[in-house]
Amino acid sequence: MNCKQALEYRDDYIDGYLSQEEKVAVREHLNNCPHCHAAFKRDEEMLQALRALPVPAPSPGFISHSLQHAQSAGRRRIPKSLAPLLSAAMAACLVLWLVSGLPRMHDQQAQELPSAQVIIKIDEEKIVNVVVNAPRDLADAHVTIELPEQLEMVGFPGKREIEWKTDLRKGKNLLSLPLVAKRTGNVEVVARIDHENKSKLLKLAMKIHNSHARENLHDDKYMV
Amino acid sequence: MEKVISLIQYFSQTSDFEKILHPYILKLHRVAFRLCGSVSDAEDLVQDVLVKVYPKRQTLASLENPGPWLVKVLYRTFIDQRRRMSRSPLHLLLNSHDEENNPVLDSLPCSNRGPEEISENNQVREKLMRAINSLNLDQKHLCILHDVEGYTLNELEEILNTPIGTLKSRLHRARASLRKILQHETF
Repeated sequence: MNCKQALEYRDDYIDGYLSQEEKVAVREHLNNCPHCHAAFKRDEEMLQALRALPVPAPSPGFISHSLQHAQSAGRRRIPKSLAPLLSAAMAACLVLWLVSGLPRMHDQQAQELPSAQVIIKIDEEKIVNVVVNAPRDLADAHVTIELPEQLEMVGFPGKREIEWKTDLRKGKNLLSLPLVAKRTGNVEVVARIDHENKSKLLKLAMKIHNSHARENLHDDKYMV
Repeated sequence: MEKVISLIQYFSQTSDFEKILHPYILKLHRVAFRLCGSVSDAEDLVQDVLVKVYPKRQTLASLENPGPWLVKVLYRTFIDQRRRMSRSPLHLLLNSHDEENNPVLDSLPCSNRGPEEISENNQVREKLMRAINSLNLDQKHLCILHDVEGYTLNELEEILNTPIGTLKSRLHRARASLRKILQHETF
């Protein structure tokens, strides 16, 4: 075996994928070739370093919590990272439940729901959480957010309409809308969810104050 | 009486679920962390996987070695989530990490080694992570699963749903890139 052949085998050799015969041939070459020997040794060291890359432990109680969650929630889910967001939302944001669910709608027209008001200050970034309670999995639901000119969604400056497709899971789905107010006024944010010719429309009234206005906190779930 | 029996069956299945899954959760978390890069995202991913496999617990119970099957579910879930996130404007909010927080470096284990040695090790690890992150996504995921986590190509053929020949040449190219990037490093 020459150097070229040996180097062609280098990946399979360090991974242990060679036959016994091939392994012996490579070893013989390595015993007689310091250059290849050094190259193979370096490969092994690199692989060892990769295998030794550290992994932090999960949060305390994660294993039991996640198993319990899987069993109790079944296919419903609210990602764990959203749990603190949801708690914060109870204190600082308006939470809306679309309790009736999309499939209950009988016509193809958008249905307007009662509205509630969120108060926000100029230049304040506020996460408005909308909880959509889907009675079943809804694949490729079309979500559209319409914003007035006084409001922007963080990361989408100047965009009045933001839309995307997403899969809603059976149970509670949290849409977190990071909004920032640019001008004062009483405005309306419209969230629409379309799925298979059915549509649910939510109008969310927002009052934008100047920076000295006192923030009005909502800490209850708003049932509609 | 039937209700009582079905309840007993239900609870027996759920406890089987815990029994089967428990030994694999840390391993799933490891792989999830490698793919996601943060503990919180890794926990979310593992939780999603557990919720997803719960209805399939009978299939799970019938498997001789559920490990690769679970990693396959985890990988598919990760890829699906990435695709969904890339279509959704909300990923900016949900994925907003402080750029100065490097979860890999933050997570280095404590040891009794001196500060110089720890610092050298940190630098090597940082360079390794940068090298892996410089690979294209297919190569990166293969490198993570094969070189870092130690899955064999046979297992990865199933996990990644990719022919073994393609994986071999992909791994070959990934290693060549890593060697080039890390040529002056001492491990």
